[in-house]
Amino acid sequence: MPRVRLLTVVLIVLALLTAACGAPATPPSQGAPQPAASSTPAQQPAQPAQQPAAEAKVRDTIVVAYGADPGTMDVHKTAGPALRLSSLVYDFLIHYDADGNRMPGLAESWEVAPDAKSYTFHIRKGAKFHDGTPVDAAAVKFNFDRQLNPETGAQRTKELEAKIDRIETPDDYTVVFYLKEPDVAFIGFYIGEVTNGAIISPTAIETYGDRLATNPVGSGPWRLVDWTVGQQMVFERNEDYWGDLPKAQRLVVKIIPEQSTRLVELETGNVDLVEQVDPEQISIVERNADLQLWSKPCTCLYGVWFNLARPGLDDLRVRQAINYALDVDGMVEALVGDGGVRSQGPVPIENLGHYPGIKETGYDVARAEQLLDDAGWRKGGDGIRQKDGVRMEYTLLTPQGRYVADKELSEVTQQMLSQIGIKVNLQVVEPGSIFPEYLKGEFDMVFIGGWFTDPDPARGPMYLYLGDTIYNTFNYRNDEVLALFDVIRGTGDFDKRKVLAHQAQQLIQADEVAVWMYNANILAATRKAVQNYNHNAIGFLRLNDVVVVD
Amino acid sequence: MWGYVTRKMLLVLPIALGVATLVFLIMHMTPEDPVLRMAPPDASPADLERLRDHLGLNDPLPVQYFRFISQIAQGEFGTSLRSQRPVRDEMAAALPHTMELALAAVVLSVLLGVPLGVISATRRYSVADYFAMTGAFVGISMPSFWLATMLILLGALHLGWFPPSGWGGPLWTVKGLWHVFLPALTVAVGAAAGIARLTRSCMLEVLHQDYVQVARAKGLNQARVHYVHALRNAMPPVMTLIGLEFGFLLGGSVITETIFAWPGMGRLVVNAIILHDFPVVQGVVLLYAVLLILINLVVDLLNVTLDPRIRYH
Repeated sequence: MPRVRLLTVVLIVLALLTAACGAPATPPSQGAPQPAASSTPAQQPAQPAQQPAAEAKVRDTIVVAYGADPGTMDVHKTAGPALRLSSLVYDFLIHYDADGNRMPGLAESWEVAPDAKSYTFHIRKGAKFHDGTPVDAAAVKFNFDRQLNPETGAQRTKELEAKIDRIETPDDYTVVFYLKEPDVAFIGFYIGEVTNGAIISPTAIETYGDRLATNPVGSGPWRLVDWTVGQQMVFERNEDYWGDLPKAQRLVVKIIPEQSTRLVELETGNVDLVEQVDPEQISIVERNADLQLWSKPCTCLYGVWFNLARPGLDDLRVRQAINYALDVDGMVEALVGDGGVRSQGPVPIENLGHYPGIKETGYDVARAEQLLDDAGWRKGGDGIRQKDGVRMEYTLLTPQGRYVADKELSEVTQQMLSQIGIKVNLQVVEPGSIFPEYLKGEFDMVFIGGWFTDPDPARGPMYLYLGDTIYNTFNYRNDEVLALFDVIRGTGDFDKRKVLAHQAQQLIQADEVAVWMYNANILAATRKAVQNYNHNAIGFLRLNDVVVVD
Repeated sequence: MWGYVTRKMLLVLPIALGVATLVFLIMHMTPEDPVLRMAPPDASPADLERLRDHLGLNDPLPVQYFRFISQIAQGEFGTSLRSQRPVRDEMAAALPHTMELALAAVVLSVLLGVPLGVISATRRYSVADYFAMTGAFVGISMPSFWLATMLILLGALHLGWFPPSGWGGPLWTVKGLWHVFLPALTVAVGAAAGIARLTRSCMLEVLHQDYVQVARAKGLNQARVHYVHALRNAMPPVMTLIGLEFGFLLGGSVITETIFAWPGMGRLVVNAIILHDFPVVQGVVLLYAVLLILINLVVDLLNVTLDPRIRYH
């Protein structure tokens, strides 16, 4: 065999090896050192310096990287990733602004009855579905009738059946929902964005049948023109949109499941916007002068929750002591960092009913020891407290890699509690298992949390504190809170509801049912060329105002 | 010969049935409830129960099993719980992409592995041999998730030669090849390493045989002796390995597909597993089983044409 050929082969092999081994050193060394002012990252990113000047070239296509193919866009029938994309194609009766305030959608205005038993929506005149069908009261009713029909196989059929007494259309542009029971959370659960309440063209529903899944026809700002499953969805601007027309003409949503790949696509400029960013990737985005990080705390809350049926944990003084023994401020600052913000009390700060005056327990180890002593838990020979022969030893069920710093926070909890004589055994489970494990309720403490799209005071994670849902595996029950919630459910007036929610939070806080730690940040990243991105923590994607300037 | 093929084809049925049964049982024995993944966060236990009813998950296991088997017998794999699309459609969309990737990877790995193996064998204990075999060792040991990330960082981000992800078009188009190169290389490196090592050892065996000496004695040039005479006889085990690799690639490139956003079967099945989408998982695994049997059969037949001494009865 000729020598030349041998050499080529060896060179190829060498090239391969260097390609593989030489690379890791390169990416981190690229870019400037981290800016000093990174402690408040992009909380509200300043509007990029100049508005598109006359000479700046505005691109007509926006490219977004999204983590999962929605599979179906028949959003009445899915709970999956389609819901986050639904605001592109569809309108809802009620929309949100970036802070979670309710805005007119297809309903120009609406009224909630004072007893929250009926909801009246006044439909916008002149709105049209992509196929030309007019949006009117009949179309809205048709959509909810479809969801109510058991034959449809809709996501919310049974719930809507249980809630809705009847739907009436007194005139062509008015829809009234009469509920069986007062429920102020009705809009948050069934009507607003990111719920299943998108309004789909009745003509399309009848024409397409099951094929509606891939042929979504709404009245939203974009119409879907091409969809290659698992690869990309291509949208074109709906020229007849009733609201502000999208500034761009085309929108491409690329499906890229791997987060690091999404970021490389952004860095290489193939993609303008990455819709999900991991906290570990924050520094990569911040170091890159071409990229802009967007961060907003969501209406979500994570921390360590107690099982109130376990010996010791059934005693308020012990739960207080555990809260006193943990330096949560320090833990969150060190371990969560830019991945979230320190929470305040039992409701996410972003919830519109959050009570800012909530009095938190604070960090006071001496006080913690004192409380445990008072409660009769004395340190034994091994340093572990015990009472009536029962050792203070608890399992802490925690996921690894499901929530920001979940296992790390659990480990520090374990250490800090050992200092006051409480032995904690970590039970680490993989990300997918934490939820079913928690629902089983076989834990002493659990690291968990939840995300709640609609920030109405009646929602928030408050249902975790209610008596009878499958989610209350904490065995927490406070009749005063329950009674208060019955009142909240039937209070149509927002401000009154908010005051009541404040009271409930104080009660729950006083019961110390958990060590609430942080509200996670929802992170996104764009090229600097992207302007007017409407970053929100509710979960919908609205790109009407977005322009990409070259 | 044809008897062998017929018997193998007949075997497909019981094997597929066995696989179907196993998959069905395993999926139904896992602790997680698919309904929990689909239900809204504030569903009550009663809602979950109704959803389970609706999906037929409350029927006794044997009833569900026979419903499953009889559907499959009609070529009906059911409907994805997640997308509500027929599983058949989902697989039909994903399979060609996986096959493209597997094909490109196999071609690349043969192009890399076979010459390396031959060189190693013909120059045993030379520097080239050590280089090649060390390279193969490294290639086998490199985890694909790492290699994939490195190739993206180097090939796409720093050099900018290749796109970081996505499918570009069919293999016969330039754009298609351009897109498939990095993912195919990721998969090919490990496969090439195995092929190189096997080729080396098979070649070494053959090189000592008399007919090779005769060929040399006839005065044929080295390259012709090695690549035509010796390699042909060394190939059958290598062919078998390549066939196995191809089969493995059809199912095994889950990580590569995910990292490169390649719309193939690996991603389909992983998503389905995460979401406990029973019908999709069952369909995909069943399809794999059948494909593997067929690929093995094709490899067997190829070996017959390569080596007339091999006979199947």
